[in-house]
Amino acid sequence: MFKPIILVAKQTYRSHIKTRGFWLMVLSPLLMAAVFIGIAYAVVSMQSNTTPNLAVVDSPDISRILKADKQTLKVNISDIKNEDDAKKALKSQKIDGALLITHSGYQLLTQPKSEQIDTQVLSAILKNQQVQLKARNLGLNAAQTADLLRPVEIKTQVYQPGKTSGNNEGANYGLSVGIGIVTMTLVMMYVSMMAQEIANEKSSRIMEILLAATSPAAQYFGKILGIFALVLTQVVIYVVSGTAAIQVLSDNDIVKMLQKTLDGVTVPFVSYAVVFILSAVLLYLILTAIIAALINDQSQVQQAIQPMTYLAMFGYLVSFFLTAMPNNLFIQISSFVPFVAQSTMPTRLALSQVDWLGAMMSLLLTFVAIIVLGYFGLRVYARNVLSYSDENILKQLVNNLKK
Amino acid sequence: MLEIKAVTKKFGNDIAVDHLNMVLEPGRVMGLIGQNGAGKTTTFRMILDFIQPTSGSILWNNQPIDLKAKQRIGFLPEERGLYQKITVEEQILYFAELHGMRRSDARQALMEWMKRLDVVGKVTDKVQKLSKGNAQKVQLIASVIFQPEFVILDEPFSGLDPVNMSIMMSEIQRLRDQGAMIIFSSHDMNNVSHISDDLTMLKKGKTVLQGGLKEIRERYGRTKLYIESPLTMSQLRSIPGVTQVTAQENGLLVELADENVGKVIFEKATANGYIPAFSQQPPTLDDIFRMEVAADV
Repeated sequence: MFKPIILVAKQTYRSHIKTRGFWLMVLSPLLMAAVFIGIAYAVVSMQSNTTPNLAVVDSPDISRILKADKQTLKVNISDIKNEDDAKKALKSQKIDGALLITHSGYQLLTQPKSEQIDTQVLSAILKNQQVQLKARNLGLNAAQTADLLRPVEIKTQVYQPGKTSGNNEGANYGLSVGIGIVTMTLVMMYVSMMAQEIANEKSSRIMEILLAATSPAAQYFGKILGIFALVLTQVVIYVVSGTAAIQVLSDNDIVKMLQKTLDGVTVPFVSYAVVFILSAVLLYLILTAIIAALINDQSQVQQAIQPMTYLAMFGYLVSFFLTAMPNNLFIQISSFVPFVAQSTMPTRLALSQVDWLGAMMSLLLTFVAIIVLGYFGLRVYARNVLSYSDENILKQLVNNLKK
Repeated sequence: MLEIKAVTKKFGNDIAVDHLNMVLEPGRVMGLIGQNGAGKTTTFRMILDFIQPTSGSILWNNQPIDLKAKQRIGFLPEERGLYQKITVEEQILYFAELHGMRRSDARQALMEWMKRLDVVGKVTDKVQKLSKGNAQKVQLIASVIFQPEFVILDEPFSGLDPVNMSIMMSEIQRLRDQGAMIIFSSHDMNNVSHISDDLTMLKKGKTVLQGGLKEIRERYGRTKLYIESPLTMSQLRSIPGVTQVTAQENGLLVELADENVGKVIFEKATANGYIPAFSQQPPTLDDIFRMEVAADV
């Protein structure tokens, strides 16, 4: 029983792993990511090379203060005699900005091609200066002035029992959407591969040759196993190349930012999310094998995989609302429903909306769904894989469930 | 030995196969004939356990045909199918492995088959690159590479050019000579009569003819006569028992109601001595097929 399953799985795996199409499918997201990081890196590095020039008009005091804070402001400070000279310099693009002191405050003149000057930092420095000046006029001492200038600190931390460091909201949102995207991408890729595979064997009558030598069970489980092995291969390639990229680019700002964002993500959590995503993809593959057995020819493949696509899309959409509506009953229920739970439950766990017991329950439900669907699916598959019906797929499925 | 005992298959109210009995022994070829919808493919599907008979039993060496037994059956389906985008070698090895053959043995056997059937192309070519004729040869190799003990060929001659048809016939005979039992269906009575040892004819699911080829033909009597003699067409027509006279090549083809009429004609034709041709034969399989199709069941 097991030997034919392994044979079918091996053949399915082998026939895809050798194709250019598979590698294109696996590597194109990596290439996209590399291009994206490359562009971002280039933009960042180009930006740092061009420090804007700011001229302070007729105010050595202000100029001195700004020069002291040059590092924070990230600009080159120079002095200029009057407004006319400043305007001339702006026109000839010698400077990117001119700071004028007016009777009501300050004015920053720029030109259309100016490099960006961070006005928030600039105004903060100037405000500090003003407060210090006023404090001195009011007769406050240095300590009192420092106290006055101390910024209000708001430290956000999500209370998560049993966890030392907390995720911030951005990370959770990113995580939830990320899991949604990964699941949907994998489902879309492999559901279509599975449906094409079975439809091809059925419509070209290769299935008859295959079933003359093996059982429908060997074909059904072998095919699911073979495609699932391809999913695992892709995931392993991504994990390995991702880890390698982080190691190689550990000094890169973007990687540092990413690491900081995902700081609170723990190994058990990642394992849980990965197992959940893989289980969900397996569940989708089983459903596809069942529905694909009802297909007569290749032209019906798109129609057949629609339900899976919608289901995956649904989970993906729910993951968008998850962070915003943690107490929504619908989202809470959906996090236990197989086919959708993988998009919501891992994130709910990360947000501590649910404890590990609940999370494991949800995963267990998906396992149960895999076994139940796998078992009943075999019956539908065996009954239909050699019959060619003119009825539409949904009607056939309903008829099969009645039997 | 394959034994089909009183097998009936119903689809709803339609009876596809009605009380079929058949015995097939190793080293013999059974031709299964009948019009479209007669129940030939349904019979094959029941043997292969694709569908279950409504009643009756199918036994091979007194055992039902299970998965293990199926591995020893070579099957060529009516509608041919190969993986178009996979190489010849890869798919043949896969099919051979499914039938329990070792990959290395299959690889060697494939080379021999490619050579013997004179397949134009390399084993590393994708099937879509092969011509139709060569793809048909590869299809045959896929069905029999593992030296099956039992071979089922559903319309093996359909769509074949004359060269491939003769290759197919000699391969069927070769497999039989090696001891395999073979059952095949066909519309072409010429091929059937060439290679069948036994024959079963189905009509709307019912068995209308069964037995050894020679025996079946003899059963109809020697009612076909080819003659080259001084007798004219109208003289022959006037003899009682002659049902039809048609011109054929240098002589005349006479259909008789009773084979004994042949003697009367012989005497009249040889009244003046030597005649160049007188051949009294049973009807051909093609004639029998037409007669049976035309007759009411």
